[in-house]
Amino acid sequence: MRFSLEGVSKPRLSVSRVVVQAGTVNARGFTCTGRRLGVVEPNREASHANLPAAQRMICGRTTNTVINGHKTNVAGVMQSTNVTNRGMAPGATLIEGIGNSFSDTEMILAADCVIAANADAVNMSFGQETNGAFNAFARYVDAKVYATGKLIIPAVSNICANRVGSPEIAFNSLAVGGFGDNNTTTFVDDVAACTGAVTFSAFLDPISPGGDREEPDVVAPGRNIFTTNTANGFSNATGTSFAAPHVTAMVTLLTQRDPTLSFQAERSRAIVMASARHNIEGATRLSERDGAGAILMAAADGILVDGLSSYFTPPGGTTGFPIVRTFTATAGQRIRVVIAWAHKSPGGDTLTQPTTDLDLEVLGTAGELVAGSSSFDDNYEIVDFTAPTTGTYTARILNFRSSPEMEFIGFAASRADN
Amino acid sequence: MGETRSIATAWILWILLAGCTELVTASERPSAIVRVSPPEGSAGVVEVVSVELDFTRATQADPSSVRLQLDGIDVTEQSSVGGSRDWPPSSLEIAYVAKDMPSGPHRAEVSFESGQGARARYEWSFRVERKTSE
Repeated sequence: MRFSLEGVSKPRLSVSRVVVQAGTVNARGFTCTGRRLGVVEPNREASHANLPAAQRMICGRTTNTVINGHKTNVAGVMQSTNVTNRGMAPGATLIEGIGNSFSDTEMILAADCVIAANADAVNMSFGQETNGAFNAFARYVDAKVYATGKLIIPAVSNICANRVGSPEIAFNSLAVGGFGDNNTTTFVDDVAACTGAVTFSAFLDPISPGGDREEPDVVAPGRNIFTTNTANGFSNATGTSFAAPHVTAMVTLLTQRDPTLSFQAERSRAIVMASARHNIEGATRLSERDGAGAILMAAADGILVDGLSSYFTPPGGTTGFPIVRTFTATAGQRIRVVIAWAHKSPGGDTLTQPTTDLDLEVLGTAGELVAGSSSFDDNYEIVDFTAPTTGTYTARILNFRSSPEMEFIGFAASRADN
Repeated sequence: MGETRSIATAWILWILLAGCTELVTASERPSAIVRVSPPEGSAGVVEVVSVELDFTRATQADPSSVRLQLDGIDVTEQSSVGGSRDWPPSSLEIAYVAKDMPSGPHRAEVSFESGQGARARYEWSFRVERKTSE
């Protein structure tokens, strides 16, 4: 079953804006005005008429004047103010974190500065080919998200033969893969990662003790994205680099609706995954090449409008569990519920499981078990079902393996009508 | 005296190695190479040997073909490879953590396919000088 919440007969600004429902959210009055997008990469964006200087801040290696075409492409996906080739969040201020190279030291410096400048979400369209292994930079990302609540959004590796790399292997990041929208707004011709003309976007999972770690988390359009270039014009760009900024813009748009999300990375992850009901391949709930699915911004915004997300902060250990959250559904309605929680990053290159293992079950109107999710090695759980009856449903968050120190847990439920 | 002897031995080995392989001089630097570290001809403490490449500068280049050698040994598999996540990648950095490199001269070489099967190479040399213990 497919859901399209935005009519494709409307005048379209660009293809991917329609595919991810950015136009719908913008039309509701949310263009990211007053919000801050963080972009971390070496060197600097080019000047561009549609990347307004008044909406840009720089930090990090601010004396660096080397122009980075890739960074200019990435910025356009989020912020382009062009009437036809419009970014997802044209009202945002872009905080450009500048490093001198891709070294860990430089990228950490740039990431630290955009987070200190209060970016609502941080885009990382770069990475290392670790082929499924943690490294120091992934540990940095896990620790930074846990400490600040700021969501970091990496593009996954593009090499189909590789397992995902770093930083996308970090538990606390929202790892974004790409798919091809075939330059149309319909969903029926979308092409999954590493299939046909989409010759990029790694989907092989990290090896983990339970064998059930699933990456990427979500996908977004990443092939032939017509975006800003260094010649003050527009050109096509391909790769997960251009899928990730769709999601970074999405998370930042959501913070305009609810500013507390800016410090609740886990709730943001839960909302993005719960609303990613555009299935590209495999099982609708979760599958290899598209994770939870392709993002739908209007559906995510609907979760906030309907009050279907929560943030829990139990003190650690088993105290406060099970956590119970109710919501209503109508018989026949497709429902997706996601919980996402923070990994506490004790460190170590061999770390392959989150510190705490939570499980999720959903009980129906008569208290019967309707759906459950109990992975070992992910720090999220996801259920996707059709409501059998109309009434109140109960989500229970269970603590299968506890750990000390405060938990940060996001909850989101997405219904077909939002 | 002992250090002088070891440096002299290293230089002799370097000259012998250079004579045994077909090396390209450092003068022809492919345009894709933005930066090498340590810099050509430098002397000092060396912790990482790295090369930064920008494939938008080259007419044709295959990012997946990049190899790094240190003193004649291929260290690509032991190196970290990172870069932008466009496809194919426009920029790439390969870095080898050089643990306990002996004092004296060393040479590094980066190579990659530059189109039509041709292999572009760039070789450079540098000198490791250890901090003297106090």
